[in-house]
Amino acid sequence: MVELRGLSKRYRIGDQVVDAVVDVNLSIGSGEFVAILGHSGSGKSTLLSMIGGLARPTAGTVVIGGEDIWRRDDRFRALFRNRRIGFVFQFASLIPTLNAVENVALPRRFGEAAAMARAEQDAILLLDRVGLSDRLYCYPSELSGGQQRRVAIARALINRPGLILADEPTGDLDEETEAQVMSLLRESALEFGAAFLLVTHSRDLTRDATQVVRLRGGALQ
Amino acid sequence: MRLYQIAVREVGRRKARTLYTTSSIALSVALLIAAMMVGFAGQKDLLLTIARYGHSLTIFPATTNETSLQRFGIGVGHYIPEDAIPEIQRTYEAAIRAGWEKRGGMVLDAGAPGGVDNLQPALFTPRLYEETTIGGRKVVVAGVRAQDEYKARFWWEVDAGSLLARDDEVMVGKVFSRVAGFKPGDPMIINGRPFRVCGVLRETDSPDDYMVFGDLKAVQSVFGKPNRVSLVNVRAMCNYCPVGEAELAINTKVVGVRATSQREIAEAQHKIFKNVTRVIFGLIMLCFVVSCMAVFNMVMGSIHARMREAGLLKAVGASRGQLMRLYMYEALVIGLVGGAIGYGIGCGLALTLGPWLIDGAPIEARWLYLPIAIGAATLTSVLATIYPAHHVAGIRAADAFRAL
Repeated sequence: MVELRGLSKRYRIGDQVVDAVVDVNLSIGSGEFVAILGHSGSGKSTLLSMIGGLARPTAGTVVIGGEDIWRRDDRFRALFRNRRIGFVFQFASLIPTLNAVENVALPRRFGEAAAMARAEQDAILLLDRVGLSDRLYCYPSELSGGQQRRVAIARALINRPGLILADEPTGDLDEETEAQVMSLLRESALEFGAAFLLVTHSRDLTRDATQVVRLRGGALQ
Repeated sequence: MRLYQIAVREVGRRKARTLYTTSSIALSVALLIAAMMVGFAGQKDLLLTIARYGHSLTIFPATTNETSLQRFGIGVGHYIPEDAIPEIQRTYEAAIRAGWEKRGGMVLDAGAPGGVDNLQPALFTPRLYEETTIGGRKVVVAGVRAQDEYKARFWWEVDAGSLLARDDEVMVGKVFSRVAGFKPGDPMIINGRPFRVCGVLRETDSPDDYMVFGDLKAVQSVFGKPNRVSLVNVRAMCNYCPVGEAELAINTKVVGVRATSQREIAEAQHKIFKNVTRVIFGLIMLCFVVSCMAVFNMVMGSIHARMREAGLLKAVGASRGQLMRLYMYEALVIGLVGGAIGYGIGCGLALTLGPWLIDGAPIEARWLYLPIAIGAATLTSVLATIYPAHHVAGIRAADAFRAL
């Protein structure tokens, strides 16, 4: 499903050269749950950005479903992200002027026109699945942190992605909500047969992972 | 949920920003619309004045220095002999005909020459002005050939009574009627001879409002000025008449008279008005530049918030083009609202201040200006948004991702 070969990212801050990610090689199969552990500044988010088609690597390749995404143009990567990748960010990151259903349906807006027609129905089904059937038309300001996170998860799943990328998805949640969100993410990935890549600094969240890798100074250990 | 719906909601959410941006645009649009409405009314008023004076000449005695419409050398003893009028007439007609022939034929419409044979004779309306006292008030009595005068001054109407028709009647100007208290049917003694007031002339905003009009022969007789007139007004009965050439011909060929083109005076005023209007429009364009910069600053100011949003939208699959479209829709919404509000304020300004700025000009709200207002507002808003939108839409996705 996902093949990372010699993936590196180097950037400059003034005169200083920073190697954020150094020669990462990793394979993730469909339905697999891979956790990347590391401290702040270890390069976790940069690695995730490169896998998600958001940051161009300095060297190496990212092949997802047989497609080397960094050999293609921006337009392709935008469509690829839309159809094949579901993002769950560190914070809920919902659009404040859209209600829960509209937030979940948002990725459909940027995809094919045909998919847009069923966007609202699919969004309602997903919100029902994440336990928010009674909060469908609430705006983000009317939802708790946990509920917002569930809306974000439903949004990541709306296009049935083959790869779910989660960057510290429970960073600001209490323990109980954290467990619910993690379980929801894991179950959803299994249900859709999607590869699930989690970036975290918390060892507790990696309990169910099929593969745990540690990143230090940008390199896998 | 379509892109424009997201844009509309975003505009609604950022109320303070929307209010500031919209009012900046609306103010510029209001100034533009008010200037257009007042300018149009002023232009119309001046063109009407030109139409009234027509392609006309006024012929004074050569010994008079006074050329203004207000005094005409009244009471200083300068006259044109009435029997000089046919010579003036012949000289005028010959010059006009020669002028048309030189141009290849008479012009019926702009840019369309016609035949010289279509030329209609001009209207010659002599007037004798004499100052006298009526009812204890000094007033100018004008002797006119009533029928010719009505044709030349087609805008003349009576407020009360009837137009002058007999030699024992007089017609009074509106202001004189009001001040001296004369009304139709009242007797009036002029230099010891009795007359009857037949009508009150409707206000014309000209010296006519202060005068008393009588039959030319009767006035000549009352004041002992037989065969004398103070001036002769000539109204050409064609468009684009070569009046300048007739003026030159009269001044060089007819002894004792001096011809002055009325149109030139009105056209000079028109030119000044147009120049002032241009300066005003220049200042308004400056206002648009300032409001464009205000919108630009506003959009750039909220760029950090937009980067987070752009990052999120990019992560869920929005392309650069879709992001640009989203921001352009927001600019369009602000432009539409700003344009509509600006149109309303502009109409209000013009209708309130217009009559004060241009006395008596007919100010009208015109629907035609609404699309102009909306177009100008939208253009300002879109132009001011292009660079910031381009900047935000082009943000490196990873930077935005980190921002989230």
